[in-house]
Amino acid sequence: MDILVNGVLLGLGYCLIAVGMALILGVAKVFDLVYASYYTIAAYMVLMLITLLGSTVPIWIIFIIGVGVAIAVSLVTHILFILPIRKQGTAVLVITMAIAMVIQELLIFKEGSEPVHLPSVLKGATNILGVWAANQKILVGGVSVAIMALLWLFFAKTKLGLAIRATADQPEAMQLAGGNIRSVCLASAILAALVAGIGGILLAPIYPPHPYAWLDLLIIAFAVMVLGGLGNLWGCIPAALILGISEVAVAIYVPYGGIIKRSIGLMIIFLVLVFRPTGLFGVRGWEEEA
Amino acid sequence: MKNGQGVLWPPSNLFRKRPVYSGVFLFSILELFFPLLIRDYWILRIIMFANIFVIYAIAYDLLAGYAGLISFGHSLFFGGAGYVAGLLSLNLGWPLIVCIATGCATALIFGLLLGYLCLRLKGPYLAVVTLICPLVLVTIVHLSPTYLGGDNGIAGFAQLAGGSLRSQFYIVLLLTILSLFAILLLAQGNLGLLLKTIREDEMGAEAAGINTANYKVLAFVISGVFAGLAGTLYVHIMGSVAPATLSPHYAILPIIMIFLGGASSIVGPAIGAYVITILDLYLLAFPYVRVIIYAAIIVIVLRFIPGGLIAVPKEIRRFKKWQSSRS
Repeated sequence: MDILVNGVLLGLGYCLIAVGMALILGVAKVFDLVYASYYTIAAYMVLMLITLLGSTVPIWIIFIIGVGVAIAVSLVTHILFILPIRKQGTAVLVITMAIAMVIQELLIFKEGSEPVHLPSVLKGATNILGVWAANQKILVGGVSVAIMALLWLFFAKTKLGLAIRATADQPEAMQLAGGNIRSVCLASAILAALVAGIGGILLAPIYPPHPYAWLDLLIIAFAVMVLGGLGNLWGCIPAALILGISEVAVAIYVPYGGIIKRSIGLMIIFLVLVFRPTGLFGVRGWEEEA
Repeated sequence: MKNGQGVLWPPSNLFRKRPVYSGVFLFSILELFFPLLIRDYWILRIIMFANIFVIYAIAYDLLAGYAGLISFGHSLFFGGAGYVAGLLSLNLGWPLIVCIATGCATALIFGLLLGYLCLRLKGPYLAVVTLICPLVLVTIVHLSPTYLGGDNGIAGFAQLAGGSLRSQFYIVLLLTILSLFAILLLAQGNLGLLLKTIREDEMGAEAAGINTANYKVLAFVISGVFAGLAGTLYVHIMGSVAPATLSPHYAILPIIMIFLGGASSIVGPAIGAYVITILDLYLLAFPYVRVIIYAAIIVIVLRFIPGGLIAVPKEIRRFKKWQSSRS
């Protein structure tokens, strides 16, 4: 029971990290490695505003500003650097890596390289099925589920969601039908930064962010997204749960579990991918269409 | 067959590429005199490291540029071979050349295993699987502080040529030139052509009777062996090896180098390796802005020349054409 509750909560946290990546790489097919930096940007922005403004401004306004800054950074990177060379996938890959490094250095310059601590939104703990879990973790799980549900609604019901799906499927046909690929790409970038910003602010009290955190986050997001399968947003949920539950189980039962839990989780992903080369629920022919 | 090109003459594109090759040749001859010309210990050392990274980058280019298999875990070969060589040298006291050869052999085995496991994987799937391997190896190193040195790595084994910089420089330079020409021959010959075919159209290559699986594994093996060579040289010059050599940082380095220089051209990645290493080590004097300058240069170059530094002449030609069409 212990494993199940903690594993599911951890998994939902991972899901929150991976879903934005799944949006931007799996659906929009842009290799955007700056993605993980939006987390650290949002978290650091909130930290700076809290020390700057203190308690004069309600906390939720600070949160909104933090997410807004993440979205602004994402828009700037996409307009200035990614859209003009969208056709060369590998150049985008390296350029975004370099931008992430610039952001990392700027954060070190501003706040130092030590991990920082953000106040929790919710204090205390709740008893779920006989296991005590911190309220903040439950909040992360709840928000993660809510975001997935909202994204489902967005993709199923709205016109913009339809446009994003159409661009992912057949960009040329989308253009012929009068769609604007540029704005669709920007829309998915905004969406990803929004999810990342919310995730960064909510996860920061649990995993204190530091300027180098983007690499770890990127690895988790990448691994979970790929395990779920590219082009399939919903694959993230079971994939994240598998990783979360296996990490918690290893941490509890195996000696040295705390050190090797991440490796065991990654080994599971490795084995799954070797035997199922398109992930658990991947869309076939994702590469050919790209 | 205009201008006398054709059967007797080499194909015209070889002529076009020739200045680049003569440049490489001239530069390697020039480097033979560097230890005599440059008195500064530190600069000579930077150039030596740049040469090691040239081996690493061109090895990676064969896999990522030619075969199009972008691996995010090439530090598996670099650090793995380095660890094997260092451990053998420290614990068994074997001569360095045997340690380096064993390190390369380990990289060969890693290449075979990884190549076979990754046969069916493409794009991001391949990236994740290759990314995971060195991370798992790092955890194994962390778990074994007594044998593998844990977090601190292992130190204190024999240095190349007894630590004399000038001899080290010449050994590294010789190996760099040999690897450069070996990989150039492979890449310009049949193997490079086959790998490019597989990259562009795997199904078409299969239909043409190419055993794509064998060639993909071969690309992994060759690339791994040369990356392993670079790794063993690196640790034997440092005289120590840390888990950092297995970290994602060392996996990202060759990716940046080859795309900054221009992928699938061998000469481009060599230029990229020089630029990155020299920037990286030279800027150590400015600790606060080092990474920012270095990353900003990458961003600016790739934003305006997505083909990398090797495409600069092409861009200039295009610019001149555009200018003349305007006037």
